[in-house]
Amino acid sequence: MRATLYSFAVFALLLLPLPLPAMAQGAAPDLDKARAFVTALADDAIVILSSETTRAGREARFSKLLNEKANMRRIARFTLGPFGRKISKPDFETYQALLNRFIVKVYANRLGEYSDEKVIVGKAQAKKKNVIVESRIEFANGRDPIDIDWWLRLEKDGSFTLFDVRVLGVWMAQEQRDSFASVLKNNRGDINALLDHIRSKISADPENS
Amino acid sequence: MVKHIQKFLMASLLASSLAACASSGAVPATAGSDRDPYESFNRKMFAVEQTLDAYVLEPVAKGYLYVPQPVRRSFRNFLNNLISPVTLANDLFQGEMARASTTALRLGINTVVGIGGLFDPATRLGLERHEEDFGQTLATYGVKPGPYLYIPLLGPSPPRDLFGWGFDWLFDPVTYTGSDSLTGPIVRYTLDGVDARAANMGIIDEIERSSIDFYATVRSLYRQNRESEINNGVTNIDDLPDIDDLDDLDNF
Repeated sequence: MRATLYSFAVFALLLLPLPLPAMAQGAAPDLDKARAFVTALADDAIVILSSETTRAGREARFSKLLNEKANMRRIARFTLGPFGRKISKPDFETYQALLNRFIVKVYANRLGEYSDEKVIVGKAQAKKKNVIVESRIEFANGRDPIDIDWWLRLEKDGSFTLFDVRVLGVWMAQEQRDSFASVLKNNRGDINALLDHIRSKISADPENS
Repeated sequence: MVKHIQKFLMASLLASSLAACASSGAVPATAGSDRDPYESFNRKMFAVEQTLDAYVLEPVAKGYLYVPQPVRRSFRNFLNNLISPVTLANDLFQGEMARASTTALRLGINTVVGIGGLFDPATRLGLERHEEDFGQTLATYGVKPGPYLYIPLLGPSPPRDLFGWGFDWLFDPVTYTGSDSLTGPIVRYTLDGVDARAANMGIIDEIERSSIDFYATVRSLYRQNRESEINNGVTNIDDLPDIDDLDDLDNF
């Protein structure tokens, strides 16, 4: 019995180191790949912001870019905060669809301010599946440069997706989550109130009227 | 000097009584992203500010935009240089010697070569500008901000930052110009506000237009930005919220 246990232990010890390097390799995000992802994403965004002259055109291309590069489902979950655990599936799907349109409208225009720029991608750091890539935006017109951080997530298939962007020290998805939480709190947790608020912001947009 | 000390004591009393109110309340002291015990008061004050902005600050700032851009740039440089002794004092209070020497060099170079601060040759020499205030210094000592307070014309001013603001007046050169210690800082603060409003006209309007709750957005922007200033803009991946569990939520 003792011999069996012993040989089992030895066998286990021999096997143990084998899967570890393989697992670590699979789990640790590749920082250079993350930086390349951000460079490509920022370049795409600049091309859209500087070449599309109409808001509708800018929004359409921006929407396509976001759907390809960002995990919108995760962003939708996050921006609901703890409320995301209580919401029904149909309500969540409605929320998701509205949020996608809302984000495109908000950021295609907020970022419209930053069209004559150069993005310099800096260092990256990783923790579990999260990677933060730092960058600096320099303006042609002599405006003060702006630091932008990109929060990426490593997906199961090994690709990266964008989760959040930090401009001047402010994480955008966290800012949305805070204002959505405030609307929910002031309407006794009524998701319809939040959906109506988002709808009214989308339809108040001059391009939509 | 007696007047300065009196003012400082008054600011301390005000801040400590506010902090006492806050700590005696039943609300836990953790700074959650939506913690705002005086929200209804703050929202009223925010509405007052919005009115003042619509009727006074925004029109004045729009008028100021007619001043040619290079002139506005020089004026902004001048204001930045003028406040740098406050940054220098706080760099030193925080024991940040490298940052203190950057601020001191910037002050010297921009005052002499940059003609009283109208130009910013220091940045071109690689000496990048940063700002510090006593609110940030207190934060590095571990002082919590206290409850969120919105004060018209001052903006978000939790007790720690309000107290810090009062303390910074002691290191502000304009406090010691003119016949009294109030006029200089008030004039400077007003000009600074108009210039900042004008410089950020587009983005402020865009954020207001696209926010579903502008008050809550400003509160979030302030808190996050302040936290970033306290950390000197350094990004630390350990400070991120944990989002691992979001991936499991798709099972209804």
